[in-house]
Amino acid sequence: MNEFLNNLKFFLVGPYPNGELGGLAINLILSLATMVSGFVLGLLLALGRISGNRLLKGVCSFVIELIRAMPLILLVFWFYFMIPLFAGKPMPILLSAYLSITIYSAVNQAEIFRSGFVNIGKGQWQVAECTGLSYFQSVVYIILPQTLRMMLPSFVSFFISILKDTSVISIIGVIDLTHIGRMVSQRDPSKLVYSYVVMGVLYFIFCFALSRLAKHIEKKQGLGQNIRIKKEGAAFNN
Amino acid sequence: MNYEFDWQTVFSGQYLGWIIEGLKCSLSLMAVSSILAVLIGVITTFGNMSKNRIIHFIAVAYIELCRNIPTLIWLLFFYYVFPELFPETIKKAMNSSPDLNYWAAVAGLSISSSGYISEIIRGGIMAVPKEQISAAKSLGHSKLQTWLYIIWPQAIKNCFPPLVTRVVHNVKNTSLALTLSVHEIMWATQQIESITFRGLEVTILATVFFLVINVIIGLAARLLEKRMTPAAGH
Repeated sequence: MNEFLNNLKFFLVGPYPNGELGGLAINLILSLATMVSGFVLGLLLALGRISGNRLLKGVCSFVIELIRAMPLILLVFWFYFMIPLFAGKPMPILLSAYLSITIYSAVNQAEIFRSGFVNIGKGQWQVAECTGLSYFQSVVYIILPQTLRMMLPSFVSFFISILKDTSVISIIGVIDLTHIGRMVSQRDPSKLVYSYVVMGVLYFIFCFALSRLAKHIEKKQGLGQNIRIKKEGAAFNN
Repeated sequence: MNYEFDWQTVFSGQYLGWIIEGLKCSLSLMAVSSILAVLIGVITTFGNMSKNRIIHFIAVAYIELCRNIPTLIWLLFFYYVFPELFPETIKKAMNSSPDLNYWAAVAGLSISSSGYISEIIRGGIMAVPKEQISAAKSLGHSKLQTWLYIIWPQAIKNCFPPLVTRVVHNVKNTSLALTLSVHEIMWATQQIESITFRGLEVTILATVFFLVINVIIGLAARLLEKRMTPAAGH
């Protein structure tokens, strides 16, 4: 029993008290952090994409489409191998993982924002302008609250997707849950099945709970709204 | 910073061969895993909609498993663990097969996508109005005819856009096969990078490849959707 708990601890936090933090904790922290920074960046990108300025609109659309076409692992490689080439000095792997997933989450959240903006319609912007609110005020007080409430299930679904996608960073050597599972199974071949089952169960518990949460929110929001959203934000609402 | 591009090295001799092999392997991985994913997805949907409780439960459990475990874990599972579940002789045959990594990648990719695809198709079927089915019944269509001529055409049209999104996701995920050293494009570019140190060139190459694939799928999807509209537009 004690050995089992020790092993489980290794999966959850890695070699933490005696070494650096790892395991599932890294996945959770990284996905939360990139969700937040991607949220801000994604909002800016989405606002740029619907703005009246042609140049800004073009640049934002180009960036979003370009990065959405790339697999996450390619993005991770861009940051891991290429940034040091430009900067002239190596970057910590955790930082490059953070930056690449932030960019990835930013463009995807920008698309969620955009479908929210489309659902709200132009009327709200116009009304906000008529009542004398500045651009910043109308975004913060009128547009964002409605978008957030409407797209909340999509954001939760995207968070699940990010949580699963962070497993990719094990490829560049971050000791996340996947890396630890592989390490355990390679060190002791008799634990092969065991370590994969633990990995699967841990991921499953977190993602399943979150997806239930997303469904719960969706139900709470009433039906009429969601039929519209499903058409627009189908990417992460499935 | 000054970086001298050196495309000559990348496009010469064995490296060009690796790239071409990588392109071929990537394309076949994309096609095979996407088609399999849709097939498994359709079968699972029927299981999910079945009136038999046990079949329904199995299908739902399968879908949730597919959707809540990362694709990378599925790939690694099929490569390292799956052969272990068989008796000694089959295990040996599997482990010594040179194509094990390719088929493990196909299995992992298609299974992790099939859960999503099944949910998408179910959504498409559910969105067909119930009156259509009663109308078909009253016109004397059999159950099979109702499925073939009434439900399917509308369901496919309903679920087409999210289905394309998912297939694009699957296509991008094929790059994960790099971890099983399947010789696809990402593997080829990384291999060339580690020998020639022309990292920027090969990474640009891989990026352009995925861009082109995305554009092609986008165009094809738009064409198909246009074709579908008149058929279901009444």
